[in-house]
Amino acid sequence: MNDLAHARFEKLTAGEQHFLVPDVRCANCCLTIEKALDGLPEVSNVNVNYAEKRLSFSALTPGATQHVIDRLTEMGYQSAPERYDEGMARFREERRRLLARLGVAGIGMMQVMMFALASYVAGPQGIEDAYWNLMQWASMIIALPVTFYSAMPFHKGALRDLRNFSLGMDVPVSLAILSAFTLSTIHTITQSGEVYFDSACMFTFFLLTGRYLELTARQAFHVDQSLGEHLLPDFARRVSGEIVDIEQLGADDVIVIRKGEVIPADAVVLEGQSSVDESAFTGESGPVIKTVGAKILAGTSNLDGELTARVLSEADDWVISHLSELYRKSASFRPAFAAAADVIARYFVSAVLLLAAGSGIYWWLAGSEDYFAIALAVLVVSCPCALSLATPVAYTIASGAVRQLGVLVSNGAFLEKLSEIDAVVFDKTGTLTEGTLRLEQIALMNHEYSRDEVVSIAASLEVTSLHPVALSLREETRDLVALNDIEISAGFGISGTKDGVTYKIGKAGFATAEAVSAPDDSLNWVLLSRDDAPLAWFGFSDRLREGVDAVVDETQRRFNRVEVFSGDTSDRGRLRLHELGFQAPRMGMTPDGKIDGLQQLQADGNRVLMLGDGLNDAGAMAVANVSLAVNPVDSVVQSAADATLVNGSLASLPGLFDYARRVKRIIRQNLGWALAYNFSVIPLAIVGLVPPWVAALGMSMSSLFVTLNACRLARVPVTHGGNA
Amino acid sequence: MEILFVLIPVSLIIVGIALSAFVWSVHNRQYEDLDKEAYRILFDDNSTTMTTSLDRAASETEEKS
Repeated sequence: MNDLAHARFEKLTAGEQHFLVPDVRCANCCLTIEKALDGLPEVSNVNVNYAEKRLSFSALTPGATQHVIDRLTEMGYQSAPERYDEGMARFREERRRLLARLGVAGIGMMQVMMFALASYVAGPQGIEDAYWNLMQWASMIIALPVTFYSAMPFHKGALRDLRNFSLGMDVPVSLAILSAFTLSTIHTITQSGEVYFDSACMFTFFLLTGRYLELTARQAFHVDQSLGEHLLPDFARRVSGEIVDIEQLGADDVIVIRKGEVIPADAVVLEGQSSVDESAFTGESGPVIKTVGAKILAGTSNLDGELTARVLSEADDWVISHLSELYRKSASFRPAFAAAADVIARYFVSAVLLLAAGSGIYWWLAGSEDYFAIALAVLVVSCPCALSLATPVAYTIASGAVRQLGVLVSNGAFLEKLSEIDAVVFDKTGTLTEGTLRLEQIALMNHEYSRDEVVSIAASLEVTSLHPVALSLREETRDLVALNDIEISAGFGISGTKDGVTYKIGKAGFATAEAVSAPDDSLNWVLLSRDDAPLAWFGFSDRLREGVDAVVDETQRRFNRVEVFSGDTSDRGRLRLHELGFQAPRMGMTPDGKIDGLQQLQADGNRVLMLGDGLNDAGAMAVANVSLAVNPVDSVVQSAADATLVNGSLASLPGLFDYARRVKRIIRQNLGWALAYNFSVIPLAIVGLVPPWVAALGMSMSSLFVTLNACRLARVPVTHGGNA
Repeated sequence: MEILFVLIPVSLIIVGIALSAFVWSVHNRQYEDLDKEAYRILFDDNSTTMTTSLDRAASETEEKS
């Protein structure tokens, strides 16, 4: 048995087990896994939850868990023991409770309606009093659990609000349900007057439906988040063979990662070669070959070789830690407008209560028998529930949905602001380009050497360096030669010896005393020399991100001003930007220059989106109306940005623009609907034209409409270049 | 129509039973995953996940005896 896996599971005993299986992609997978695991003798109650990608089972023997993991691995599913997540557990519990309340309210509503309908159809004198009273009593009995069990969250919320001397949305809701029930009960017992059990039940049911939908949307958001965090293994193997808890790993520890294991830390490969699946981080679908000197990321999986690697930094600085920090932020973010909506709602609620009491008193003084019905109708109809739901629900769903495009939102207003921009500014290096150097061309100077030989020598010289040139060279070859006296002259190059011969690689002036010039200036050139005689030129370039030209075309089609602010001074950079379609890219900009340039654009009346990746963009991103960080390595950049693109694929940008517009449109519809509804129905209710059951139906339908409308945002357009 | 005095209370009892059955099934976690169950019928296999290990143990002892 794999010792690492053993360490991981030796804590586990028999009993209830929970695992996360991130690879479950369809409901069908769940059943396949269930069927396979069900065949194992020591396991029972196997259940795979599709929505949460969560496997639970009861292990009858301590070893059973191990067999389950082995079986899953055989089938090609990665799994990780679920760490106890209080937030998630609470969500699940709350969802169950809410569903039970909702069901009770729904069944109760239907029963009460049945009796109510009979009386509506029969009219006032159509039913004998004895039957009439019987049905009222039956309605009351059914309304009892609806009022005191189903509607409990509203009563509790109202009580909490009152204790804090604030008026939340729950106050009028709870008041309406309780007063309708109480008055109807009195009328039932005294056998005089109307009953409103049907209104109370209906009101409760539809409001709970809205709550339930909202909760499910938030839960979906949370599930995505915890899946990311659970990628990390619990244990790591030191080079000595010792198994340690991952928390004991520190910078410069040397670890071994075997085939099929998840990489436990951000590290640099010292030995070995393997393909690594980094799709969770880069969005790149195929595995990436990692050889000596390559950086590997915690949470990615090592597919086919054994790697020895040196841990780069403390756990807090690993990319995965930054990402989970971002996730946490975007999940806990409470948009400012939601707080504002609450304040407005508080005034609105006071007004509603006064209005309801006022119209009730007026009609009572006027001698109307329906004074309570009217007050109740006003109370119910004017409750601003839909108004307070209109924006937050849309934002919660939208921020969750854009994750499918690889965008993590840290400022809730990001999408709304994005829908209003009319200028876009790109940074060049690291944003439009990948920000790493790749070997493009080799120009041999000494024809005794073959291409492979010079690459091998160059890679051997660069073997300890972490410079982008070194990383790129080492990806080219596996044949390394042993060199002695390797010496790095920072900023110039590297030298080393073999059999008395000195090899140097670096800037032309460092590698050789001869006056040589690079083949052309289309690439970054590095010279390799042997005893001061030039051997070969290596040309590197920073490649454009995939699909950038389509994205730039699409962006230019949509907005009047699309600009590039680049710190790069080279003509080469300018030329490439021209090819991309930028007429006047601004080159050689300092961080302050970028800020000035942005303010200039804003002074011209543009609302600007800034896309950047590095520290030199952070200032400009803070100034911009809205900003998106592209694969940032630095947490400062992340916190300056309103949102972060974590998969580095700019291809989703046009889709994101469209989506932002859609979010805005739906929020507008919601607000418009909520306001129109409240203001058009309140006068009718005050005049006494709205019976309570119509009020209950209208009000809760309005909330439901707003929530369902927002749920349409859960679908994100699948993007491929400029298909819009 | 006096029968209503019997039928309505009876219906209330039935509603009560239905409600408690529903609440029980929710807390028994039967509504946790509504996507998966639709596919179960497409799997034509006798051994479903509904058979617990106890059932299996029982059937095994039957086979032995």
